[in-house]
This record gives sequence, structure tokens and C-alpha cells, in this order.
Amino acid sequence: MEKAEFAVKSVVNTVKIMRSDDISGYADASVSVQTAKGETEGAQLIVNATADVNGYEVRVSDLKKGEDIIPASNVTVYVQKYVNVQMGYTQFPSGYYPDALFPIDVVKDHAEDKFAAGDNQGFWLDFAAPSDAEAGVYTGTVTVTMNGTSVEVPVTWEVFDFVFPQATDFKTVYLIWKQWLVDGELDNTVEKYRDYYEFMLDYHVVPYTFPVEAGDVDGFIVELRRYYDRVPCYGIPYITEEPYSIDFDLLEDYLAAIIEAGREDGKNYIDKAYYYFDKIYDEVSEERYPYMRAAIDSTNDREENVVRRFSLTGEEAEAVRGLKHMVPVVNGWQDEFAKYDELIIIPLYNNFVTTANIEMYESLAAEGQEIHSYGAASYWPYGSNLIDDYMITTRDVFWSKYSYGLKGDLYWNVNGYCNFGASLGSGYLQLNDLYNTASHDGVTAGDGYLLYPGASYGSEQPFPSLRLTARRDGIEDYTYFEMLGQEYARLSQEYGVTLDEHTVLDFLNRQIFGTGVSKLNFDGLGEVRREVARLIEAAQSIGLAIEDISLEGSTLRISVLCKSGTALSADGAQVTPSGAAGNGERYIIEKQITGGTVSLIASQGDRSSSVSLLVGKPEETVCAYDAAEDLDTVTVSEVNGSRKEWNEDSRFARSGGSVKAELTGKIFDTDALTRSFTPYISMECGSLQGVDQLSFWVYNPDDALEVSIYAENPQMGQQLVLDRLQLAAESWTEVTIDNLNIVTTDQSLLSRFTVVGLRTDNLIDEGAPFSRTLYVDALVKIAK
Amino acid sequence: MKKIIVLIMTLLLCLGIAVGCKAEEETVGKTEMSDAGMLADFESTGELLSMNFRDTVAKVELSDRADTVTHGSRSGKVTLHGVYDYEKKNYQDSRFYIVTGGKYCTKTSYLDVSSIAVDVYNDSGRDLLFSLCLNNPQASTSMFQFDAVTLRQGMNHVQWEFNRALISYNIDLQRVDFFTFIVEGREADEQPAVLYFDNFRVGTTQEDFTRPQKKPDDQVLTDFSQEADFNYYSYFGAVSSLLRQPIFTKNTDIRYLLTGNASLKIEFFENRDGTGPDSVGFRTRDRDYDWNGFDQEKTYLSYDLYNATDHELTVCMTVYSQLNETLAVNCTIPAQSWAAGGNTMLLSAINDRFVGEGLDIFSVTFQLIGLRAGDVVYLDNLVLKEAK
Repeated sequence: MEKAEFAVKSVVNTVKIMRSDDISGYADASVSVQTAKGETEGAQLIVNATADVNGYEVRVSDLKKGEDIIPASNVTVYVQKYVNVQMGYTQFPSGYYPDALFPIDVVKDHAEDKFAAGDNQGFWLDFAAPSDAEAGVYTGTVTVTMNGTSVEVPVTWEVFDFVFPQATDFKTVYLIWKQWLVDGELDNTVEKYRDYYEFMLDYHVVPYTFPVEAGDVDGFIVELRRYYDRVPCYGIPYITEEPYSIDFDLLEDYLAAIIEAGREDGKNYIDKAYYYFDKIYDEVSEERYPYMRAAIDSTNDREENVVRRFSLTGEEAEAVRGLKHMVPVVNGWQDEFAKYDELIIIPLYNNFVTTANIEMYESLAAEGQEIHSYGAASYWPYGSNLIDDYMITTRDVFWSKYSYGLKGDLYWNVNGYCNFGASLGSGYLQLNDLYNTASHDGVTAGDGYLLYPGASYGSEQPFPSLRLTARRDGIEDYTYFEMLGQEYARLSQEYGVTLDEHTVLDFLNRQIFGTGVSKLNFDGLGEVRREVARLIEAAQSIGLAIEDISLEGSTLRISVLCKSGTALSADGAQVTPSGAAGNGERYIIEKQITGGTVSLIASQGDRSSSVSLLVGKPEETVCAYDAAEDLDTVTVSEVNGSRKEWNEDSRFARSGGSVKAELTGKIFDTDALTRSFTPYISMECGSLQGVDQLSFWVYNPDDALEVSIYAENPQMGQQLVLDRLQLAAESWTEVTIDNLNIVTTDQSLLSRFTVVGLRTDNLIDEGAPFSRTLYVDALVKIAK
Repeated sequence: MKKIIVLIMTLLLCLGIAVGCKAEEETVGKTEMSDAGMLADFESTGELLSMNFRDTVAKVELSDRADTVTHGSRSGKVTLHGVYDYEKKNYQDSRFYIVTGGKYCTKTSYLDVSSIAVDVYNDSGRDLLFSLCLNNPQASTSMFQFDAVTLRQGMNHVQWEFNRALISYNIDLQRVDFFTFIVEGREADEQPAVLYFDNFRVGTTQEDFTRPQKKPDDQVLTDFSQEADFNYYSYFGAVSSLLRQPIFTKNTDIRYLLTGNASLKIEFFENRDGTGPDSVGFRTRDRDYDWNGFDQEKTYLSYDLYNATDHELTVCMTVYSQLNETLAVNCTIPAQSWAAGGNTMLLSAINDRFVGEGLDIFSVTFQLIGLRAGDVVYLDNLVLKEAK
């Protein structure tokens, strides 16, 4: 075996490294990972050798912190398998992408531990912290051996001082298509389904049904008792009777059995149940509304039967009546859904991309409507499910889900092991090679499967994919946010002051996602995650909570609540309490920032806790519109009747002055032209290269008005819509543009975009044009 | 001596000469033959993965158990759990498929085939019905299903004659898309079937084959003077099991034919529930036929049917249009008798019933009222007759 000279590089776990990528710019390898107790987080090493590698090994030592040891067996080493993607569906480049993760021992047992000179070989390491581990920093090594030559890579593993829950509250419905298991596993019995079910629970994703045949009510109860404490939700099975109806007698049998079991065991088993009659209302459209209505009515009748039969009252009865139907939808919320109390609406990811939509769903959630999301073949700029796409967007989409109030996620098939893009009378065709065929539908790379079968490699368990691992980590991040929320709810009780974790999370998450799109902060996601962990620790250990945090210009203002007698410092400077806040004390911090972090340290006696808040760069004024000559930097659709003027009326200016725009509609000779005309206000903003966020204020003195926000390359006449939102009536609206990634991720191309603006639909009412007046002011930006 | 005869028969099989063969109880031993006719040898995991078991519930694995291997070094062990039919409280028949033209089953043209065979070791603790179909058994056309055989416990060397003339009427033998293996479903209290498959193969012949053309005779749909006529009928109505559907065979017993020297014997079997026959009758398969060009006022659609049972049967002949319009006529036939009267339908009456111009009959069905499991009828002559 030729001695190999090889490089081992560290790459953050939010980036996919293709087999042919140049890794020379990455740091020499050292593994740094942070987890809560009972949590798993991944890290990756990429190796590139100058000679063919014909045998390799990657071994982890025990991880030690003084006398405390986390054994090496808590770290699983996977080999990243590459698959050739030539589809072009996502418009990412063709080539060999990593996706399947094979345990290294499996690879070695099958003599596949080899790769060619010049190719990358990625290794993924899952660090699983025991739930009873001591908090602190553990160290150890990873020994990477290629063709007999070894390199030691240092490992640092920080275990946060809180326990990750055994079962998350995030409700997933990920479908195992049981019949299709046989295509990769040569086995589609209940026993094999159970292997998959258990495997997926380790990734915090819950299959729709328990491992039991539909119709076997007794068996269902056995599984309910086995899994109830490990899942946030479970589906009640059903059997289709006609094309769009089900066996309701059987459904009632299930409900009755669940109630009986609950009475025997003293547990409210029904509270985690849901219905998902996918044959009736999956991706429901108008044609299916009558069937959905009928199914819900019949379900309600059966629920009442059960309530009467068991003489249920109060909460027990309401739990049965409150069972929901999971309804995935393609085109988002429809008026039809408002007629029901029984629905959990599950729109596709691309329904959460404009401020108008996001606010609509947030409003629905605030009114008690439960909203989840679902991804099929989604890809950039939406949360990704595909191989030839970013990895970070598979993970940070869960960050935005928390912000938008979404409570769950659905994925339609984790084990599409056949060629479901082609069929004969025998059904879909088989795939020749499941491990080297990226597309199972003939169109996308990766849709319809998140797992790889283990049977061909002698494994009872399937193998995960990077995409599944990223989802796991995203759900864990979501759970961090929930945990912070639980702590703030507890502290709200304790202090008698309302605390909302979204305030600080939304501020921190500006680093991670913008309106409907990831900010592709590959390095920063781990840093923000660590901050959230620190906030949880600080809340648990010392009762520190961020009540409010905001940035205006270069002034950062933070309101912190702590227990009375806490010593608080900000960047080393002692902060005096500003006064009592309920049963605690409030500390106000105002700082001029230039970027970076603000470090808070809170101490009570010999206990202390610290948080470093990533605050980003300060706001820079692009134009305050305080001088009349600023009007020159603004244009409106004057050719078609709109007007602009400089405004000094302080009622309509944030400070100094503003621009008053009178937008006018117009009727053209053709309907097409009339419909396509959009009166606009454009503002010069300078190059958007290196800009993380822009914002400006709009005063709308009239009724609410929906507008589109755009960025423009004036040289090319190219306008790209970034958002759609509603300007509130008779008030100021701050318009934030934080999703410039939608324009392009290429900063040099972004430099050509130098104008932002808003436009309305053509202002026509009953066949006559009309005008609307708006005032714009205070255009600011924040650099990356 | 018996062993020598068996070995000779096996050798003949190797030479591609068709030998009618039912399932045997004794283990014969490994077959030594050319692999040229091999369709599936169940030798590798890759080969098993190329098969489609998605329509049943099964566990599939390789086995090197010596008494199950008849070719190569392995067999395919298939444990068939089956799909539970909640309404009927039993398990549906299991089906799995081998698609042709792939890496393992490369043969797509079956013009040169004279027999088809597979070795099946039944380790289920009970006998099982088993059949093979070319293409989709639930399609009325472009499929051919071999008669079901009983797999006894132990080794079964199953072989069917491959009647090219008969099969080619419905299937393009140059393009068989897939094979369907059908195993009867179990009852709720029975254990999953355990079968070992090996050596799925065809025997070939050097004899040229040209698909026989049905001689045109405007007024004769079937009189069973031609091979193609025997593939013109299918079961009618729902069946509880594809393995219990009626069997259509050629009859030459002159007691059961009126004209020519053959008629169609149709035999009905008991359904899975044991509550009666599986199927309610038989029907014509879809086939292009020009029903126009006749004097409709004088021309009758007529059939000859012999009731070979010991009880009366009423035959309801119904013609269907493409738009699902119908016209029916009943005929009561005493036991051991031919239909006499009521077995005709005037074309003009059909035309009056059907909408649109021209006579467009999609299918003719024969529902047998009073049918019992085990009943046999004989059909001779489905023709158009002119009244004198």
C-alpha cells in the first residue's frame, strides 16, 4: 500500500463538501462540538490524499474532563458516500454530492474503505452526550489513518449544563411506506417497519403509524403503551372503504380502545393522537372539500359515540372532541379551512416566504389554529430536502419554523426505494443500485427518501443521510428555543413580568434567516446556537432573562431581568439595576456597538452564568431624507402620473423630513397593460454587496395597503421581488429587507443592485384610477 | 427403473421438449441443464432486489439449504405474510413480479419457448395453490395465466406447457414485460407461507412460430375451430382469488359440442370463503370486432351452451357498449342439456338500446344464475345468425 500524504480538514457541520471541492482553504482539522446532555450533534472531517487510499481508519478516543469520561462508544463515525447528481433540477452544479452515511465498520467489513487520489473523503462524527454527563469541556483525539499513516486530530466537546428531553414536543409526521421497504430491505413485514420506526425516533422524527398492521386494534394498544412516552404525537390508523371514505366503525374501535387503555393505565393517551386520512384529504383541493367535510363530520359523530359510551366529561371529553386532522396543502391557507376547528393545516415550505404570509400564519397561530409545514421536493431558496442543495437550509428552516409559530413538520416518504418515476403493470420499477442512484423519481435528486437500506450490507438498521441528520439537528435547535420558552414562562411566573423568548431569539436569529430565506450563515449557526444554550443555562441556573433587546442606529439597548441581588456586568462594566421588575430586578444596558458581541456575566454568590450575545453590526444611515435634495435619490412612476415631493410635516417624518409620494393608477389601451402596471417608489441605496439588511419606514395615512418590495439593478432594468407585506392603516410600518440571498448569493452580482423600492398593484377602483399617498423615510442598512 | 425414467424425463426437459409435469412430492435433486433458458436463479441479493414484492408483505432472503436448491448454490426463500384483508378477515393472495429485460432476467422475446418451469420447495406445513402469469393477471388483455397448481409440502417441480398459439393471441410474445407469481393467501389463523424458489426457466424449441391469424368469418365470433378462440373468454365479476377463478380448457368430448370438433369447457371453483363459486360467469375479452354491416332486423347474436351440472342454470347474456349501456336476455337450461330458446338477441334490439350511430358492443357477458362451486358448462358457437 502506497504511503499516503493526506490533508485532514475541519469543516462546519452546516456545509456539504462535494467529492471534487477544493478544501485547501479550510482550517487544519480540529473537532469542536457542543451538545446538551442527552443530545447528539455532528461534526465532520474531510480528507484528501495525494495517492490512492486503499485502507483507512478513523477512531475516536475516550473524551475526558478531569475524572469524568464520555466513552468513545458515544461517538459514531460514519463515512460519507457520494452520489453523482446530473439532474439540474435545483440548478446547483452537477457532480458527486455526499448524502448516505455508512458506519465505518460496515464500510471496512465490505472492503470499501478506499478512495482515489485527489478525491475528498468525508467522515461524519455523531457525538451523543449521555443525559447524566457532567457539564463542561471534554477533550480527546480522533486518529485518522490512511494507508497505515496516522494523524491525530484534537477534539473539544462542550456539554452544556442542561438536559435535552427524551422526547421533543415538535410534532413530526414522517411516512414510512411499509410496502416499499421490501425494495431495499427484502422485507416489508411489521418487524422491519419496527426497525425503521425505532431508528427514526433516534433522529427525533416520528413515523405516522406505530409498527402494527392497520386494523389490529389490540396490537395498536400494545404499541401505544410502548411508545407513548417517546413521541410527541401518533396517528390513528384507518382503512379505506371507498375512494374517499374510511371504515368509521374501526375508527371508533380505535378511539374506544385508547380511552380504555388510558383508564387502565391512568394516562391521557388520547392527547397525543391525531388523524391523517391521507387518501381523503392529502394536498386537499376544492374538489375534495366535500369528502373532507363528510369525513370530519363522521369522525365527530364517532367521537361523540365514544364520549357517551364512556360517560366522559370535562377535560377527558374535550380531549376526544379536540382531536385534529393533519391536512397537508399545496397552496396554503384557504377560506374553507376557517370553517373547521378540527384541522392542523400543513402548507408547503414555499408558503412561508413573504411578510404578508408569515404574518397571516402567525396571526392564525395566535388565534389557536395549529400550523405545521411540509416539504416535498423543495430546494433553495426554500428549506431543502434534496441532495444537490445546501445542507444548512435543511437545518435552519426549523429556526424559522419556531419564529413563525409552526408546531410540526411532515415529510411524505423516507424510504422510496424504487423508481417511482417509471412503472409497468407490475408497479413502479426497481432501481438497479440504490446507493449510487440519486434520483428515484426521474426528476429530483433525493426526493422521496431520507434513508438508505441496510440489507445489502448485512445491517438490520437503515443508514441515515446527511439530510436526515441535518433535520435531526434542526429539530434539536427548535427544542432549544422551546426550552428557553419554558424557562421564560417559569421566570414570568416567578417575576410576575411577562417574558417572551421570541424577543431575544428573533434578535439573535437575524444572523440565521431573513424573510422566507436562510442567510447561509454556515459558521454563525453554531455560534448562535451556543448563545441560546447559554441563555438556557443562565435562565435555569441564575434566573437571567432577556426581557427586551433592540438596535437603533449604533445604539444597542438590552433589558435584562435577574433575581434581586444579582451582580450583572456587560463587557466587563458593572450594570446597576434600574429598578424592581415584579419579584426581580431590571437592568438596562445601552451601548454603542461596532459589531461583534456583548458579553453579560451574572453572579449570585458563588454561582455565575455568562452569555455572549452576537449583536451584529450597527445600523448605518443610507438616507434620512432630512434635506430637500434627498428627493433626487427617490423616483416614482411619474411618467404615468405619480408625483413626489419633499415633506417637512413632522407628523409624517421620523425626523427632519421625509419623501411624500402620491402614487396614481392608470388605465391603458389594453387590459394586459393595465393589469401589469404597478405604481412604484424607488430609493437609491448604493451597492447591496456586503449588506445584511436594509430597512426603511413608510407612513400610510389611509386604509391598509398591500405592497411588494423589490431590489433593482438599474443598469439592466432588472427588478426582483423580495417580499409582499401590508402597510398598516394610518401608521408607520418598518419595511425590512433581510433576504437579499433571494436576489443572488454572489456578492459581485449583488453589487449591481443599487436600488430598493415598493410598488402597489394598479390603483383602479370601479374602472377609474385613484391615488394613494405614502411617506418614506429613514433608509438604513446593516453590513454583514 | 422409475429413477431412470425420471432422469430421462429430466434430460428431455433439458433438450427443450415440452413435457407435461405436475408438482412432485419426491425431491429429484439438482437440475443440470444449460443456463440459456434461465430466467431467475435466485443466486444473489442483487437478483432478489431486482424482483418486485411490493404488492404483498414478505421477507425475502437467500438460502443455501441443500434440499431447496435445484440449480446453482442457493435458492430464494420467500416468507409470505400477505396483505390482510380487514373486511374478509383473511390475507389476500400474494403476488410478486420478475420484470424482463433487466440485468438478471434478460429474456424479453418468448417466441422460441415451449415450456416454462420453476422449482418450489414448500415448507409451509400445508399445501398451497400457485400460479404464474405473463404480465398483469388483473388485465383482461395482454396477459396469460397458467392454470393453478397445488404445491405439496416439500419440493415441487412445476412446469407448464407453453402453447405459443394460445398465448400469442393475447400477448405479443416478442415482448413479455414481466412475470407474476401468485400464491394463495392464508387464513387469519394460519402461519405465513414459506417457499423456496429456484431455477425459474424456460424450455425452448427450434420450431419456427408464426402467430396464427384468426381466419376471418364475419359471422362467427368463436366456434372453437381455431386455437385463438380458446383465449377469447375470461371470468366475469369479482373473484376472491386469482387462483380460484374459472379455468377455460379445450374440450373434444363430442357429447359437449354441437359443431366442429371442439368446444370450450369452463369449470368453476369454490371461493375462499367456502360460500359458493368464485366468479359468477364468463365474458368475452376485449377484441376489435365490426358489428356493423349486417341486416340488424334479421341477424341474431346467438350462443350454444351445455349445462353439465345436475341442476338448472339460468344464463343471463348481456351485451355492453363502450358507454356501459346494456341489454340482456335470459335463458334457463335444464341439467345436462343444451340451451334451447332465449339464447339469442336481435341486433336491432341492441342498436335501439345503445346511443349513437353504429353498433358498438364492447363485451358480451354470461352470468350463470344458480351456479355452484364445481359446476362445469361447455360453450360452443358464439355467432351471428340470420333469420330465415
